[in-house]
Amino acid sequence: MYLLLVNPKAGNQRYRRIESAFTNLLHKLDIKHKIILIDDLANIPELLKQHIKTDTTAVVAVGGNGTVNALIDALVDYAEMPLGIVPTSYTNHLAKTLGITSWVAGVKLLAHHEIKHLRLGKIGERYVAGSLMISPKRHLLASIMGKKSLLKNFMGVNIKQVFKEEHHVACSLTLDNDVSVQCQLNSLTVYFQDEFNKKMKIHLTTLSQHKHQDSIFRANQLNISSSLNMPVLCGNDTVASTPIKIQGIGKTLPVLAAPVPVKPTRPVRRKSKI
Amino acid sequence: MAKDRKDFADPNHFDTLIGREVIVEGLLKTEGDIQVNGQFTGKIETNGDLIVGEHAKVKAEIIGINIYVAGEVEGDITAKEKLEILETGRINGNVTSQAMSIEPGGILKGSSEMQEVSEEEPLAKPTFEVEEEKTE
Repeated sequence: MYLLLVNPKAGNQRYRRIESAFTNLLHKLDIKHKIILIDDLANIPELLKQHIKTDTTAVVAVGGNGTVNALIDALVDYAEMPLGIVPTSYTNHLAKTLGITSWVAGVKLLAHHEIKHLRLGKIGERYVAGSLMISPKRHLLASIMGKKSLLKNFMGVNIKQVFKEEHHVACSLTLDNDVSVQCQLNSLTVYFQDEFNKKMKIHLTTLSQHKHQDSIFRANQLNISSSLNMPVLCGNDTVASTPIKIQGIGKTLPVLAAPVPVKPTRPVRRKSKI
Repeated sequence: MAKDRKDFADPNHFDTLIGREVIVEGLLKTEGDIQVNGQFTGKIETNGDLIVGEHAKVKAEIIGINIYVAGEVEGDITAKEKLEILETGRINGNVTSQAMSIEPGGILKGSSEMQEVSEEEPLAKPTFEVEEEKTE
């Protein structure tokens, strides 16, 4: 049986609008389930204690990034209990990583899926999965305002983008206590899942002579301090702010992911010898 | 195996990439390839290849497999296979390698020691199969 934890507030209360279609699809696919509405994300650990039984197949987050992140943090105490995601917001970053593009796809995945293991990271006492984004220029509004538009063209303000000082913050990183990095940071992404050395991948973007420059580092532990406090985002959910210590840990979380399509094998044609 | 020059431009190829105007200090120890385009001070140890980019300034002891220098290096270098100093490359230190090349314009200020290639481990494996002649 799937335990569905629904955040009715996620995605501008989207669950209210899709509720009947959602339950109809569950019944149509013959998915045994139990729906619990979340009134406060802080109550998730208590809800899991109450409702996880021996016949629970997986716990499914029905909501946005905040719901998923809160559930990941709470599920760490339940070894080998898989996490499913039904995205009801439009920016669920982990769902996209797992190949879940809509809430319909998320529900269908409960019937047919494969289990993947996501490596976990830790910020303070909080567990996170997927990736983290740290940037002084991270607001959706800021990126929309930064784009060219016909209106701006009409107003004559569609000029070449000028890199502003506030978009680059003096930043100091310490990797595994061995290496220190000084830079003018524009954005930093931490990927916990990395096949290379099984360490975190740290993708740093800085500015040099009005051009963005990429840097890549690998580490199990990262300390960040900066001249300006920057938010640490998991999807669009702010989980912390700098200065911060981020760790890649050995624990993994089983998740329901879209099965990899099997490519049809072509019959081998043998060239006939003349 | 020695790198193709086109690998220099691909950032995804590297285990570690230090961008321009990024200042790094400490002990950098990895298994993969490294490219330095910024400033590095300390020690670099890799079981892969190292590329010191044109604008890079490195003050470090360096140990790697194949090492390509197009920027400035101050410190001793040990290349387990090949050391290549490109036309913009400058090394101020002692170098040890099995094979070395310096392009016109490249500068080495220091001693150079060439290590013998051991017969047990050939420098490069042949990429083609040799057909044995049958004697009847």
